[in-house]
Amino acid sequence: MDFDEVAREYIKDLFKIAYSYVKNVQLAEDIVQDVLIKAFERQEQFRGESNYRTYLIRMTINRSYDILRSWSYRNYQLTNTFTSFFNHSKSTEDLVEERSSNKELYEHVFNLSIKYREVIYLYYYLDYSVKEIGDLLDLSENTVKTRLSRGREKLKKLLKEEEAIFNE
Amino acid sequence: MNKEQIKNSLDHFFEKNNLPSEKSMERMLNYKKQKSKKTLALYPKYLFGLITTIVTVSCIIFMLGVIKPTESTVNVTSKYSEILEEFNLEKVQIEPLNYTFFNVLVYEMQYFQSAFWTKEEAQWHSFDSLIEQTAMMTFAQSKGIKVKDKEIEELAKQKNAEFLQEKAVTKYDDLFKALSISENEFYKDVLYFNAKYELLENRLLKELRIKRENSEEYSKLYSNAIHFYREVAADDITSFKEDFQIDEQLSVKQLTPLKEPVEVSFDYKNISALALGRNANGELEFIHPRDTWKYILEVYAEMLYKIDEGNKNYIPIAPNTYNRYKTSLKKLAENSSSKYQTEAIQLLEILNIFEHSYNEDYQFE
Repeated sequence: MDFDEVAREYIKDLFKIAYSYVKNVQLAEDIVQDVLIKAFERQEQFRGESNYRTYLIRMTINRSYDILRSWSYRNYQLTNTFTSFFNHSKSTEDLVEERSSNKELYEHVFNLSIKYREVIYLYYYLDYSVKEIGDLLDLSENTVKTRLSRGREKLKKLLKEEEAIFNE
Repeated sequence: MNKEQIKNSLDHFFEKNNLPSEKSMERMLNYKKQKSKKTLALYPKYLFGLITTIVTVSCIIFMLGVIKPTESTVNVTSKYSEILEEFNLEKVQIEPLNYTFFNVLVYEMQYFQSAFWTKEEAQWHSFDSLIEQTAMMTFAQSKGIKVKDKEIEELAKQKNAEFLQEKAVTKYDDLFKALSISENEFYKDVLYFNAKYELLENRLLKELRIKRENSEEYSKLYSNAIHFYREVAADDITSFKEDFQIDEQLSVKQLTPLKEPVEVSFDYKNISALALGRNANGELEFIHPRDTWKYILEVYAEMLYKIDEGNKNYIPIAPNTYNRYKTSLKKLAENSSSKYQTEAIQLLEILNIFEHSYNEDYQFE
């Protein structure tokens, strides 16, 4: 298959994975583009040990981790914190609406810490099995299971808390 | 909350925000025209953020130099200085909790011993051992005791030689497979860790002139080390317990002992000694496994001896011999000419209850 076709087929999944890590559209785009550049350059080196989708997803996860660890990302987070602190752009109506509506489930998923978020995302959203997730993230199956179960518990807890606030 | 809900909610998010948009897709698909770039630095707004951050951080550093520590900062420092003074220690040097070492301890306890332990029990006991060792290492290092890497390496190599002999008779390959660790990781996280612990402990005992034989002083030292460690590494311990879902207040299974067996097909020779109970679903379960195994070994001793006959060493019914015993029992149960046929059927029935009770903790064939 032509590389362009492959890229077009998987690009949405790759973007969504990158986004789940960095939670920023531009950064996620950068990550995917970097991955595609590398994959394009290394087409000959792909040994076919896993399927190509898994290969690209693994590269995306690795690149996302690189970004999360980078100084520039931390700087971006810090800048964002300052910006949101100084820019109270939300109107009173927005705030009232925000308080009176339940948060969506996805917001809770995005607010989980990375170690829980990534397994929940891969398992529930991208339909990977526990074993496949273990291979992708270099974790034992037991660790994946533990993280899935703890992630689910955390989600349930957040939803319950949300419900309690909403009912008050 | 189920799989569909999570999936639909995430789909809804991406659709609502039109992610990735056509424009975004086109931008990403321009990979052939791009070269790898330094993310973020290219965006002017982040560049502005970078400058802002540098200025802000400089201001904070300047202000920290001018402002005196707050009351809470003073409290935290004095909290540690008090405990350091109490135990006559120099500094706080925390030894991290070793996850691989802990997993190995749990596995060894479940599979390399002659008793059956639930995973919860094995984790509980192993957690105690891990805390003891880590606490002693933390205490010794905080006392200023040092060991050189070269010394640790030498002792670890000796331990490795002993381990290779042990490996020849014990199923360590199963352990490596079950825990997904390599021999190299085992060396680094278990043997090297053990060597470091031994050297630190020996030096600390020498420094404090405490002999192991003097159990009172020795146990007092451990108790101090654990107290100190739990104080200075409270957060690490909490996270570790969260990761493994360890409950230090291990609850004993509260099941009512049976008065009479109902769902079994033969008369038990001693019902109270069998110590079975019922779970929430009304099914029979082992509630005091050690008592039940004792009963089995006493009542079915002759048959078990017969099964074991010919073996050089006595083989207990243990996690790694269980399946062998079960296979032999099945053969006896099918052999109508064997005088042990009835007993074999009975014991298989008890083993069935046992497997039901422990099916979350062990893999039975």
